[in-house]
Amino acid sequence: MSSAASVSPSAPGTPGAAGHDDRKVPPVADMARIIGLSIPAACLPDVVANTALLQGYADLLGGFALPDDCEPAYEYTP
Amino acid sequence: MSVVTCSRGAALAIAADVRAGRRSAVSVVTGVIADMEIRDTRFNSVTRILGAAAVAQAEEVDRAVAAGKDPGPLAGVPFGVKDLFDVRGEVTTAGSIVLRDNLPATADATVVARLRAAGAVPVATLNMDEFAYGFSTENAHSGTTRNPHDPARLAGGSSGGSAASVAAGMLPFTLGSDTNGSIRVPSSLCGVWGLKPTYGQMPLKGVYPFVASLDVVGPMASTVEDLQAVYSIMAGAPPLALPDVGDVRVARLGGWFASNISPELTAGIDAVMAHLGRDRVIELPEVARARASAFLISAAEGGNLHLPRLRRRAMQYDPATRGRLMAGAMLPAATFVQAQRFRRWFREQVHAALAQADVFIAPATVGVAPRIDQPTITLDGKTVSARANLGIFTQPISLTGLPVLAAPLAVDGLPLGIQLIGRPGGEDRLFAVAGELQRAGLARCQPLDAGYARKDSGC
Repeated sequence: MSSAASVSPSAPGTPGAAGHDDRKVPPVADMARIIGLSIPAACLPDVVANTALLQGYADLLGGFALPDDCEPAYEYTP
Repeated sequence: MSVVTCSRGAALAIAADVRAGRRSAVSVVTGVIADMEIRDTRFNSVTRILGAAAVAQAEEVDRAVAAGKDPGPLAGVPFGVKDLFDVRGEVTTAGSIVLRDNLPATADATVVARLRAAGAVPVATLNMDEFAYGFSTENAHSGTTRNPHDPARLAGGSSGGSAASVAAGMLPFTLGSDTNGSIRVPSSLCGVWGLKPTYGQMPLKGVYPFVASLDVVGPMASTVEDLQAVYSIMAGAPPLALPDVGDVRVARLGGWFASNISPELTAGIDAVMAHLGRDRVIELPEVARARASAFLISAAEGGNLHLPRLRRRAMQYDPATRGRLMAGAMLPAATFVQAQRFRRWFREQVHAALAQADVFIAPATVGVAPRIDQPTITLDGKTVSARANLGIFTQPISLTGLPVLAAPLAVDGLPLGIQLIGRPGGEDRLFAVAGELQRAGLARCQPLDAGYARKDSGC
């Protein structure tokens, strides 16, 4: 890991600056702050678990290379 | 267990009797309401009974009949709606106390209005997972809907009240919504017919949204004939002309869709394929990623929809929904866009497969309804949450937007269901196959006790 990488904020699901795999502990508080969401303490474990679940699906999807000309299906017609 | 055997459909039989003056709409509606008040204490499928308004509309139907006017093709037929359809004069809760202070709807949802114009009478709103985010109809506010075929088991969701009220024989048809399988899963677990029409085909005006990219509304019913009639009226289209079933090319989906399913379900699909004289098996590529995409799009769009309320009053939400919506609201844009791009790619693969068949057959769930006290299913040898995973076979198909008809297999024991998956706009072929399966006795809905059919005139 380069020094530049080690001081950068870690993205969810990527190895963190501390050198350990924080894939299972997404930085939920930071992510929530960015969108102006305050997570009650009682809800935090559930939100963390669901965020980790979604990250697992995102990793699965991210492992598939799409051609550059494959556009998002915003206006979808079956 | 009694069986509704009306060849023309339970709802259509009621309408025929009302139109002919053999039964009054008021007697039908009041009878159904009394039946629900007594029997739904076991199932918890109903959230509100629309008594006064329903009786008033039934009186209008009877006046039309008495005056010699056409009361409509569904004259006097009672139905229920998942609690996310606007019904004029009622607050649309979407299964949550979060919306309970909203003003009552000033107009019906478009599909409700079309059914009402056809003479059908909305008599109840029906239970659901909060904001349609779940596959189990376990609702912290309104309780868990129980499966009429075994009240110790889940009805499935999120349109669980809609499926259970048909399975119990309390209503001949109901309306549900399907984003990731919310019509197909409960239809299958409760053993009723259900239709998720082609994405974009049904008007969603007056339907509380969940995931705009995937949301569809459709009917659930005890017979194929009723399902088809209600579908046509909801779509504002003339009755379908069905093709000869022998001309419909049917294939079963293999791979992902042949794994993790019960032996009884495999045997049921084998029997269906043998009866139809087809043996083609098609494997769709990257189904796990298609499911992941539907999961991620749902989380992101659902989370974004609720973000303003989650910021202010998160604790009012059902705990089972709140954490999922919050996580979804925080999903990075890169992930959401990737899922939408994958959807485009997957569409091309599915259309290539559709060149080989008109209808795909696949399981709707892995097996029978899970127990309420043990709400789990087994996938790849692991025990996982039923609420989040019952849609393992429906979510990938949701991503495609294809129409799907959920067919209840004729089995001994608890219900099992299959998906008949068609090409875009290919509902006619789905109904042709479904009608043949019903006629051949391979698929059937067995309502517990069809109170609405109890009368002196036969079907």
